Amino acid sequence: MTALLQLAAKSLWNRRFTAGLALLSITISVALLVGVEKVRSEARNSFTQTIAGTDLIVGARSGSIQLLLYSVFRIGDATANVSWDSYQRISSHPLVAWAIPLSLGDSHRGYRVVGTTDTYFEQLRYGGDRALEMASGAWFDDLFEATVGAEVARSLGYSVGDAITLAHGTGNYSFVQHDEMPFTISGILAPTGTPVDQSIHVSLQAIEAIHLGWQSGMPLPGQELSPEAARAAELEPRAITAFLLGLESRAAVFQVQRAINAYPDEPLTAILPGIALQELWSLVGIAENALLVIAAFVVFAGLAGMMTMLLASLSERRREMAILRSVGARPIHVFGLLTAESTLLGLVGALAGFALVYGAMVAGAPLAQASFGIHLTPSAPSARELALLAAVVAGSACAGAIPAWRAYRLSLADGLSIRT
Amino acid sequence: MSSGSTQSIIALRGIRYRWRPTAPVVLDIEQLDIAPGERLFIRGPSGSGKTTLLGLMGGVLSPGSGHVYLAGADLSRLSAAHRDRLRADEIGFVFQMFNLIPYLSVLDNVLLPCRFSRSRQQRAGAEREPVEEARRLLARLGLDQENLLTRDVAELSVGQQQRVAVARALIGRPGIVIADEPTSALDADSRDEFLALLQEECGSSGAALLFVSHDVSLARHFDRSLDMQTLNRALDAEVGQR
Repeated sequence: MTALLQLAAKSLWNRRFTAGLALLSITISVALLVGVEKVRSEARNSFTQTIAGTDLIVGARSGSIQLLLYSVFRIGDATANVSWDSYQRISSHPLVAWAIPLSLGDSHRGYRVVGTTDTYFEQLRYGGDRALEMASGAWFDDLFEATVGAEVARSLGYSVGDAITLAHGTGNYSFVQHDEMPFTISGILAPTGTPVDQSIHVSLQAIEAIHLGWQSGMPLPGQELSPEAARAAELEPRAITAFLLGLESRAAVFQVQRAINAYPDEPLTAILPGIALQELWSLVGIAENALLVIAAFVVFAGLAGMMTMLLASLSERRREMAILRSVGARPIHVFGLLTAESTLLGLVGALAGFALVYGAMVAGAPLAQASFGIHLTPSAPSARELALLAAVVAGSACAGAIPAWRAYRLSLADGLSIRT
Repeated sequence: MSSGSTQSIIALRGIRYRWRPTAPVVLDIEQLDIAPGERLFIRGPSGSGKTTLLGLMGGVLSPGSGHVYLAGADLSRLSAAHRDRLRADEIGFVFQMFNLIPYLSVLDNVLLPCRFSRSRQQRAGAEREPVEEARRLLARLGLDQENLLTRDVAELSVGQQQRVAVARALIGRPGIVIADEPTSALDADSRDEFLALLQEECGSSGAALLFVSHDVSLARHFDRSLDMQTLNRALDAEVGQR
């Protein structure tokens, strides 16, 4: 057995150019397959890491996935708001330990602005049970102070004390700027690997202040206020976008959820983040499976390429087979030699594909973090990935069995006579 | 069937072979015995049934009728796996040319029979390591430069390749070396030199030598010489039919 493996390895090395090409196609196809699987699991992991410690998410009545996406992941927009009155009533419920209001809808150079309170900094948890920390400066204290996420500061080159203006709306380019009321950066948060990194946090009152004198989402001409005038104004929020709840006891979660969903004064939706995530995965799962199927077909194509390479080499290897038979190799050895070659190619290709993906993850982690907020951590291969690896190796053994069978037949027919 | 079958390294009795049951007989040999250590020359032009004869002796072909004895064992009573093992144990082959596996070094080529035959491995390693035995054989055949042993076999001259093939045929002392036109790619001088080496080495390892060639002028180097024309009665029948 080891003798055959040695023979196979040396034979492949002898044909290293064609074997290398076959290897390359297997490597790339396996990298694609593993990459799809890795991105899938890492994205899920990253999403799951984002919301920890939050028992309920409450927003205006809508689908749970939509509420989850805009409140936690800052993807998409809310269709309606929650009144401040409802927020206050629910957050003062005896079973509620804390509440984090979120007021969304403004942005700064493509990054979302979140109007919130100190509770956000104190109670928000991510990645298990980790609290937010300041990298420099302090959480906002003044009306015109902002606390930016790590990624915002990094990519825009901000440091504490810089002045920024907010824009109305959430696009990358906004035509309506709140430029009459500039903000000062009071602090920068430490990186979390969650959408917090891409957010700019200001007080709820600040959100009210920059919209003073506005109507229907547009500034009224001649009604703009100066910052000084805004400070003097009544800044109690009228509405927020959503809020996160922490309960005194997790056991109360369904009771509170029912109460909120049946809230008489306003149509509201309360969701459990974990359940909403499951709904999201089952939705996204269709696309993920489609991607996996495509990647599997690419692997199939890679293996078929290797099979073609082995089949094409057979006619020039009939002499080699006859020599091997003359020194005592049985036709089954010839079969084994070819299968060993394909299995070796599959194994090396699959391992190289894995190495490629893990290398790319290490190299591309900063980019994925910056562009998608996906936190890539090279971890040990999961059971699913190992199963993929085993499947590729088994597939390559099967792909090799076809040329091996042909070589077996040829060597039975040729015997010791050398034909070329 | 005959006492000769137990003494001979190879014995053929009443062999008739056809490629398909309906095809004409291509090989018809009443009796052929090769004694241990004997040097036998068989003149066989192409089309004389030579390839078939070697296939039968090596156990990769089975005769329709008759018996092939290799080292006393009746090949027709053995399974294909047994025949392959016996061939590896008892026969060293040298072919016309390109005898070597291109992706193995000279040493690995010589050691190849030891990988498939345990008894060749044991016999080669009886006095020293098989690798040392391979080096010794190569040295005796004039291939003792160290750089030659690890070189790509494709870089060797044809004469050198044939000598490596002889070393491979002889390692582990098989009962017989069967050489099929091994000198056809060599010029006259290296042919005689090669023939002398082959004879000498078979003699010193105690192996019988069956040398098959179309070149009748080589017959004088051998103890005994046969002609396929007379050995293979199927050829007479064919001539008679014409």
